[in-house]
Amino acid sequence: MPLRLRLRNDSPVPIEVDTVRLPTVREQTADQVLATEVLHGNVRETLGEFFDAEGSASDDNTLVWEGDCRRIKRIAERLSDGQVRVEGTAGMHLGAEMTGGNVVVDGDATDWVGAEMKGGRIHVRGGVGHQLGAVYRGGHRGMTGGEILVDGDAGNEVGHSMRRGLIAVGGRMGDLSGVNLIAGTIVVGGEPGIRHGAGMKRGTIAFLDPQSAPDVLPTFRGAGNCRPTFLRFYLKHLTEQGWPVPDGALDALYRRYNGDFLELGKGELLVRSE
Amino acid sequence: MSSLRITGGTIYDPANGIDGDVGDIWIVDGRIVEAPAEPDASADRTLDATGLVVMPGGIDMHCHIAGPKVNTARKMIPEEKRTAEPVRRTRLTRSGSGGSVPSTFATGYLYAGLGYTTAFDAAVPPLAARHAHEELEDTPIIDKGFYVMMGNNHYVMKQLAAGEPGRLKAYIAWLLQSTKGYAAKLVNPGGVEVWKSGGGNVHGIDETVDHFNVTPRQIIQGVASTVQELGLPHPVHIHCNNLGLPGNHATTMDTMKSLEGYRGHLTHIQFHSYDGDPDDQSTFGSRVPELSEYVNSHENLTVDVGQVMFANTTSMTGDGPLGYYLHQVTGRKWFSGDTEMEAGCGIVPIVYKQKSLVHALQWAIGLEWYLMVDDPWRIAMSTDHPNGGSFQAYPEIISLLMDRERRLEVLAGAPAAVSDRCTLKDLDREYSLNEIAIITRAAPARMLGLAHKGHLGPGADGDVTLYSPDDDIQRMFELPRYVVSRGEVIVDDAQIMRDTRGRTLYVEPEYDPDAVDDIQAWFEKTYSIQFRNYPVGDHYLQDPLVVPTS
Repeated sequence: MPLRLRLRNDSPVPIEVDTVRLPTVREQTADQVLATEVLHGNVRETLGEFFDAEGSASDDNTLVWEGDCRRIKRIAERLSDGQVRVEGTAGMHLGAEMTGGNVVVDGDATDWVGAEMKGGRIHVRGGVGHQLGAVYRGGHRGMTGGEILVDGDAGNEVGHSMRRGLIAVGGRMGDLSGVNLIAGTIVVGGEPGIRHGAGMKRGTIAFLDPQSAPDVLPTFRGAGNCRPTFLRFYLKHLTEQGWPVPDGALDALYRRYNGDFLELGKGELLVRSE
Repeated sequence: MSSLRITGGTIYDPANGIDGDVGDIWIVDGRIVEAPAEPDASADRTLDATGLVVMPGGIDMHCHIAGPKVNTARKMIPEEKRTAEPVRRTRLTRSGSGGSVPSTFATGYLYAGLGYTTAFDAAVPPLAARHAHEELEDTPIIDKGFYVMMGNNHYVMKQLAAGEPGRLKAYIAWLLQSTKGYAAKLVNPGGVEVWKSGGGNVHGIDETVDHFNVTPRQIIQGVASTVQELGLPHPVHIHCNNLGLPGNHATTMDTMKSLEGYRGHLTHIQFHSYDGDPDDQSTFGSRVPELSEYVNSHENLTVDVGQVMFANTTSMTGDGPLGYYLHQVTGRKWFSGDTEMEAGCGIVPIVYKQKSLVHALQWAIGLEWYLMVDDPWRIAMSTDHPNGGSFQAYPEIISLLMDRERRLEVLAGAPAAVSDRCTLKDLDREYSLNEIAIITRAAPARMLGLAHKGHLGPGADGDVTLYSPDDDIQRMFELPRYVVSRGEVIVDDAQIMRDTRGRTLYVEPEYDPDAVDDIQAWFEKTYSIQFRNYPVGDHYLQDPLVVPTS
């Protein structure tokens, strides 16, 4: 039976719960967990002011957040091991800087999901906001490992300055995905925005919807058609994970573009052409 | 009248020849006085310093802590600010941010926490003087001032080219008065102007500065002699041409030789002591032996080191082309500034790594300087904060200087080629506490011409730092037991006990008022602001102290 935290008091002021960490709470009783100090705006209060708790994470190393947690920030931040489930909506910085473990969100999440993530997996069944798996402002390296799967839509700057790992967005994608990409893979199932891969050095951004090929920046060059073997492996893996791979994507022909030639130019855009 | 007596401490006061003697120090109304003759005299407060090491307050003669370039650097590195230990508000002190470029209030607290009571920002463009004073006002506890950049100033270069030493002298004096600055600073003399006007640089002191028909040599000698004629307390403060480039030792040697007959201070000399081919980083090496030998035999010169330490930091410099060079080398973000007729600026975040041959050599070259200058009175400790590292690394540098084994341990973790390209592993010298007191207090005070600082004799400022002796030298210097500023206990056991404001130190050299007409005519033709708005008013100064010219 997991430790279950149920949102009781939906304050309009955001609450930061990075202090609620699995290795600590799995050793605690429900009352001790509720005594954890959290930031409510700029005021320190206890988790019990806002949440009810039941169960324990001591056996299954699992923590469940229940309710409309869109203003609950920093859930599963720096997670290293175990399971975190959000039954509802998750607030900003979900799973940011996590190094391992699994995060599943049944509903939507907001901005900065998996920002500067290093390992583990995040799966959001709904949509997410901006800066999915991105670098924080000023930094020079975003996500460096792990996987982020989003079944629904995502906003702008997905995988900003990503260095390694996999991001898959099933629905519509905002603008500037893979901006300044250093390496790693981004897969887009739905309609894309504009300026993908601007400033990318290496890495792959694959667009799986044949009906909505993106405009390619003028600093990319066409490099023929291909059926990339690695993409088949990736898509099979995504299918196993329950991510909605579009029909026919596995065997399709992809038009390949190299870029961004303003930078190293060793990156590629793969645009499904049939 | 308030008084403080510090009893029974082991005193290191090299300026007065006291090397580890046990004694008392009396401070009355912020100044050190002779011990009262009557044996039963008492003070308002007595600190029992038995077993503690007592030194004058530390003096950082070359750091970057105020003004627009520092502020730009703070804004440029949110990624470092986000992860740095926050400086939290207390009953007495304000909150702030840390990292390689701490916020203003935090800078004051952190210096005081290390036992430093005086610091000088080393590069302020005259136009930014007002901003620098405003930030210094928000830098508590420490006494402070700044050096005014004039090595690429159009008026300076025009007077040199025209052979008008009188006008140059009047201008430098007027400029120091207008900015309420402390000393004359040259940054890559001539080179920044060439960069600003066309993207180039000068590569030796006898190249001509485009459009001005002067050479760096003329700028160096002209300003050095003028500073001497004006009787400024600190000689010309020089950041040589070609900073950071392999093979720049020749330029540095030329600069030193050009100063024959003048006094001069060469700053962050570590960055100017490199062997090798300027176009090939892999040829990098040390030329400290010959440069330090020259310094040893020429008493007109003093240096500070600009030690590199292995950490994340931020390079900020008035040397515009250097900023661009670092941006090219590191691939990191870059800020470039152009201050009208006066100066340039470059800012780039940088990481110094022990595993990098070049970085490890820079570290070793800095230590070579400390260990190869025979007379500690002519070398001052600096990291060129934050360029080589933070001022917060001073305790670690002290431990490296006092412990050869520790140096060798670090060297063992660096690429093997480092030992072949410098002499560090052969240097057995270990600093004594007395020598540490010289390079961190007494010598910088003497170089700066501050008669009331850097010693514990009667008349000196009541700035005293007390350390608990510890086998771990770094810890000893990181956590002073007490820090006293102007006779008040500011830090007690790492807690700030009082939030004082510190004084602004500046100079007021005299000049011929008739010379101002020419300056004004030039100014009104070239500047974006009104002439009358240029000088910094007295109300910008906090508890000012004019240091006399001689």
